[in-house]
Amino acid sequence: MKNILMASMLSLSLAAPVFAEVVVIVNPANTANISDDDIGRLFLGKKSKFSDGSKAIPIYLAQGHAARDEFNKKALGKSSSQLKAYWSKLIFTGKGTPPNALGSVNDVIEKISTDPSAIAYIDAASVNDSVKVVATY
Amino acid sequence: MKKLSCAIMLVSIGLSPLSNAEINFRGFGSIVGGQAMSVEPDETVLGYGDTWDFKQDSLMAFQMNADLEDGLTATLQLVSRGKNDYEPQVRWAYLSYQATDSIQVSAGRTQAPFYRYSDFLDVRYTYNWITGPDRVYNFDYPSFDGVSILYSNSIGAVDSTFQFVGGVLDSESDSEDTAGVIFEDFYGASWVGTWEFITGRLSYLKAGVTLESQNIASLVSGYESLGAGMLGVAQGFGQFAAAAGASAVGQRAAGYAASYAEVGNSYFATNDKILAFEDDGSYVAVGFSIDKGSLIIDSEFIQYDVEESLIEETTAYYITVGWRVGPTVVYGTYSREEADAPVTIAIAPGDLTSVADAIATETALPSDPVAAFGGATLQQMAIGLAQQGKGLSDTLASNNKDIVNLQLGMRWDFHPSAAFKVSYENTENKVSGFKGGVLRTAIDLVF
Repeated sequence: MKNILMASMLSLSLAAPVFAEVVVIVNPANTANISDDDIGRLFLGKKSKFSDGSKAIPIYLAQGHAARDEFNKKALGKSSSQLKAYWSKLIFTGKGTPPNALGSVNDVIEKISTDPSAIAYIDAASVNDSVKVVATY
Repeated sequence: MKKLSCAIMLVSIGLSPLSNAEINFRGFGSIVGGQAMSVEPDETVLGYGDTWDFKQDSLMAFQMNADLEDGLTATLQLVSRGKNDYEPQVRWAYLSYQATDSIQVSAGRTQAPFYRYSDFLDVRYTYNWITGPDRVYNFDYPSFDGVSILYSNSIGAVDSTFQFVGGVLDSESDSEDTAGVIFEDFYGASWVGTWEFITGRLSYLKAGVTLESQNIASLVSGYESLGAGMLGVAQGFGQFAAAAGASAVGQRAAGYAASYAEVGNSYFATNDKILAFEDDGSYVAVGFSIDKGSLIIDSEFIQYDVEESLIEETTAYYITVGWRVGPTVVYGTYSREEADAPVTIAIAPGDLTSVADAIATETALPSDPVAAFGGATLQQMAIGLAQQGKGLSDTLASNNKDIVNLQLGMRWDFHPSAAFKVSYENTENKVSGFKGGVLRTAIDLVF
C-alpha cells in the first residue's frame, strides 16, 4: 500500500509541469553578442540596439502562449500582470510602446528567418534551422 | 491593446492618407465603490460619506496615439471622473520627438513630476493601492502645460531617467475640483534610478504660486475691516486725548491711540503675506522602493512651502509594505501629514488684549454712541475689536495639522487585464481629534 502511494506520488511529481524550455532566437546572420542582461533590456524597451550597434526589434508571442508566461517569468522576472502594469506605465505616459506580439510560433519563426534585426522567443521544441538560438531559459 | 491602422481606414474609405501615421487607441479605467465607517452623518473620509458611493474615485480614460514615424508622435488622453459627473478632461495632449536614443522632447500638456506616481496616478492597474496614499497624494495637481525633456541612460547596472520640465500649471484650465491654483514660471527636475530590485527617486520643483481661494479672500477683507476699525478707534482716542489735554486720562488715551494705530496698520501690512500672489513656492520629494520576489516596500517623503502666504509648510510621507503570493498582493500603508500654521502671520498684527483690559477700567471716556462704530461707544468698540483680533489669531494658529492614515488592502489579478482591489483605511487627525474609516473596493483595467 505504502509503495503504491509512493509510486503514485512519484508519477504525480513527474507529470507535474515539466515545461519545455524557452529559447531566444535571432536571424542566423545576426552575429552580435547577446547576454542575458541584453535580452532583459531589449524585451523591456530599455535598449533598442544589439551590442554591435545594429537596430534590434524584439517580438513577443501573443497572450495565451505558455512560452510567453515562461519567458516573462524566467527572463524578465515578471508575471504577465506585472509585465502589463510595466508597459501600461510607459504607454500612458508616452515613455514607450511595447513590442508587437505575433499570434503563432510559425509567424515568429517566419519573421526571425527573414529579418536580421528581429529577436524573439519560442518554446525550444519548435526551433528549426532557419533561426539561431542565443539563449535558453 | 488593439490597433487600428489609420492608413487602412483612410484607404478603405477612398482617401489617401496625409502621412503614414499609425494610430493606436488604448484606455484604462477604475470603478470604485466605498463607504465611510463610524462617522457622523455629515462627516466624510477621503470624500466618502456614510452611504455607498460609486462616483468619488471611479474613472474611465481613453488615449489616442499617432505615430508619425521618425520619432515623432502625437498623443491625446481624456479622463472622465465620476466625481465630475464623467465630464471628460484633457489630461495629456502633446507632441513628442525622440531626438536620440536617450533624449525625448515633449511639448504640450503632460503631468509634472511631483509624486513618484504622478505620471500614471490615474492608471491604477499599475499599482496595488486603490488610490495613492492619501496623506501624500491628497493634492490633485493640475495638468502641466509646457516642455518636458526626458533623458535616459545606463551606467553599469543602474538605469537612470532624468526629467526636466518648464511651463505653467493652471487649475482653471483643468478641473473644477482643484479651484484656483496657478503655478507660473514653473520649472524643476526629477531623477529615477533603478538598480536590480531597488528604485530611488528625487524631485525638486519651483514656481510662483497664486491661490484664488474664497477663504483667503474673506480673511483679507476681515483683516481690512479689523484694521480700519482699529484706526477709527485710534482716531477717537486721539481726539479725546487732544480735548482732555495734559490730564492723566488724556495721556493714557494718547497711549491707547498709539497702540490701536500701530496694530491697525499692521493688519493692513500683513495682508500682503496672507495673499498667495506669485509667491515663491518650492517642492521637494524623495522616494524609494524595493520589489524583490514576494517582498514589496514603497516609500515617499514630500515637503512643500510657499513663502509669504497662508499656505502651511507641509511635510508628508508614507511607507507601504506588501507581500506577493501568486496573483495576490496584501499590503499595509502608514501615511502621515504634518503642517505648521503660519504663526508669524497670525500673530504679526499684534495682540491688544492687555490694552483693551486697561481701557475696560476707564470711567471717564465719552459714553455717547458713535455712528461709525455701529452705535457702540469708543470704549465698547475698542474692547470688541481687540477680542475679534485675538479670536482670529487663535483660529489661524490652530490650523496645525497632524493626520495619520493607516490602510490595509489587497490586490488580486483575477484577469489578464484587470485587477480586483479591496482596502480599509483609517484616518485620525491628532490636532482636531477627528477619526474615521473608509472601506473601498475597486476593479481596475487597462485595454
